Amino acid sequence: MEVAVIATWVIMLIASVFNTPTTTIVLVENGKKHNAIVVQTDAGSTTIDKAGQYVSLTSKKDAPSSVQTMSKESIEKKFKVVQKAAPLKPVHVNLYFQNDSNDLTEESAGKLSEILKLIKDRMPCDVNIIGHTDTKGKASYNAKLALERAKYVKQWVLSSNVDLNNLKVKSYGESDLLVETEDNVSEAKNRRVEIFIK
Amino acid sequence: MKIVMIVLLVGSVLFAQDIAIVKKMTGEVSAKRVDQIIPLAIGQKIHEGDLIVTKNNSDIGIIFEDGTIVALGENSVLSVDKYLFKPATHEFLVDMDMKKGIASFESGKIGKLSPESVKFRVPEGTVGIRGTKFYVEVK
Repeated sequence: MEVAVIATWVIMLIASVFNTPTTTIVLVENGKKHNAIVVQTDAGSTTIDKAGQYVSLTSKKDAPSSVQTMSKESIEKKFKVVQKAAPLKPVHVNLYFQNDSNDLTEESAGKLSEILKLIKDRMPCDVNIIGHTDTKGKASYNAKLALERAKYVKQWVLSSNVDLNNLKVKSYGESDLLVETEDNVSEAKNRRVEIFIK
Repeated sequence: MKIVMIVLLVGSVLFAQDIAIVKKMTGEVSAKRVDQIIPLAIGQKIHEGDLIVTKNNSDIGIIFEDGTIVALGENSVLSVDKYLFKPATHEFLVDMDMKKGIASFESGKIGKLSPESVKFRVPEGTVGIRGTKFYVEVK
């Protein structure tokens, strides 16, 4: 199953206002390659690009502290509260279709239960369903086909009686390819419906 | 005059954009919206301009339209000043102001498509996302 997490970076922050304001900003591992932040005050800026690194701020007029490192254990201890409060990440799932049709491939057709689990784990859940096609045929025809596919997936999800907070259906036609091709090319990976579950 | 005011108010409420949803919550959390204090609950929407306030032993986890995740611990105050997510016209903006407390922030699609549009402010400064080309691998 294709599940892509779209986040690129994570920070955690304490902004506690005691006698002197002190803010600590920690960059946290998120399983992605690109994970970097810039912390800036009126006096300068510092980049943090490794998980576990942090800087402290004391005032607008002072530059951020030098970059320091916090152990995993300390991060977990200090930021336990927000780790617990954070909801599960939204997920993307791609379902693939047969050529010029709104019939799912056999493999994708077997994925309903997995998708329902992703939805149920995230209740109350918003679901966006986006239909796509490959570039074979006319763009106007493909816009309709992509919408048919998205509507089919919508019915498929609704048939299982999940109580969704919000459900949106869109068609991108042949305008948003997963695999870049020339026009009028049949490509199985582009014949898809993208489900964004959040 | 009064009628006009009411119409304006109702209009602004009707057209206010839902930008995020409350996914998890414990204890007492409220949103200050225009002149009202609205107690929040799971499933409720956050609007642009909301000031989110958590009390003792309270926390909240919200997800924005683009998938940005924000969690606040107890005794925290976060102002969601500006938020715009319009991929079709490539309009993006995230501008939040953390006034006190503890929070986690995990960027979504906006952080990927337009990192320079993300600004997370703290009392002493701001946190932003660095341009992709400067990133290094995180192990």
